[in-house]
Amino acid sequence: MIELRINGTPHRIDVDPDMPLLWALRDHLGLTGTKYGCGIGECGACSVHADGSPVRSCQLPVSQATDADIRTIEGLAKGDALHRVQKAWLEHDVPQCGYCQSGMIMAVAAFLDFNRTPSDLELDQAITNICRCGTYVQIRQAVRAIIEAEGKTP
Amino acid sequence: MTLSRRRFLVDGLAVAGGFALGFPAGAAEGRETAPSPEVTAWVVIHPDDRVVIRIARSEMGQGTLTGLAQLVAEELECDWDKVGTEFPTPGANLARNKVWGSMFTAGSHGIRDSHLYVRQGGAAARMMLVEAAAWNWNVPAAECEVEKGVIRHGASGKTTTYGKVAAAAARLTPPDKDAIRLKDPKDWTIAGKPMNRLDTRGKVDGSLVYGIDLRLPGMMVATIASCPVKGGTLKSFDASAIAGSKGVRHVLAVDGVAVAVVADDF
Repeated sequence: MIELRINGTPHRIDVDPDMPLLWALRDHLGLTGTKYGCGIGECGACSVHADGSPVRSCQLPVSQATDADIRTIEGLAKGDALHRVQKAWLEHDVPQCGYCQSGMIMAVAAFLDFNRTPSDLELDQAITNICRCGTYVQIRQAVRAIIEAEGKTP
Repeated sequence: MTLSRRRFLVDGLAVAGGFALGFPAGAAEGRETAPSPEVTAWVVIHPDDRVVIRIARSEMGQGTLTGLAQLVAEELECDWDKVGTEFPTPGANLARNKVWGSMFTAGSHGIRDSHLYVRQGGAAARMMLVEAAAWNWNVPAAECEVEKGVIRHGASGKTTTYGKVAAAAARLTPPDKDAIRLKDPKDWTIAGKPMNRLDTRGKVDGSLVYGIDLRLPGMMVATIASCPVKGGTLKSFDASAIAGSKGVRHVLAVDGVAVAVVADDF
């Protein structure tokens, strides 16, 4: 049995200890907002937070996730109140197909907690998630808007 | 346009305005007992004025859903802020004699091939809604104006909303497509304008269900490895290497070129 804490809720699931967290979330806990993209830690579609830090959940065995507070896209909003990154994504119409955006939003949310006023260059270097639709321009606009709304400049 | 929807043609009730029109007795505003909110196959209007536009093409990120909704809403003259969408199923389309036409979605055909008849579907709904209001007020439909889902009869000062007359409008026979005059695109205020997409919420909170997210009863998952060289064939594989792995059901050769592992989950 593996014990996990996901979005503040404890879970016990009967899976192999080396199962990637991604599949425990998707196939065993029904949290399908976290997406499978490449399976080799490149694309970032599977990004979640472990104790607030972004991790590629396809690369993290569940046995190494048991001590962390895991947060997924389903747990980013506080009830009906969307996280500021989700709000900015809505306002700036960022997603196209949307498949990468759960991971993108989780990566950006964690990054903005770490660096509250990133430049575009810092954003580009930190956010290595891949979007096949090419929404990078809208992502930068949305992030700029978040920074400006909070009265900060890079 | 063939709209195979239910029709209530009542003997002795008449024809007005350019298209056949029949009311059941007493079908006045507010007196509906079993309202059908579907005005045309493309347009559903709820009593609280929420508009649901049916989208018969897939949305794969190109914005087809929102673009088609804009085209319908433009002719419907509804309040864009009250517009939502829903997808009819292929089964429903078949059961209703392809009332939504082709559902093919590829190569930019989604909007290009259907913009005319979805606009006609929106315009037909608008005409029926106005006709229903005019009938209720006992005035000619031609004297009524519509803006953002509010119907107004200038001479009498009467107003009503789409939501209030939708159930009555739903009982009308849709106008013949020859009676439908579409707006000149230069007068468009919704279609062709850069509106935010209607389906973004589910993409930012993880709730949108993609194909890979579906779980059906008894469903298993197969992952496939094939020869990395084009034309390469399968020589051998060692299924015993993963025998006893949790959840693994089968290890199969596929057409002599690939190996599939079938398991309960990924």
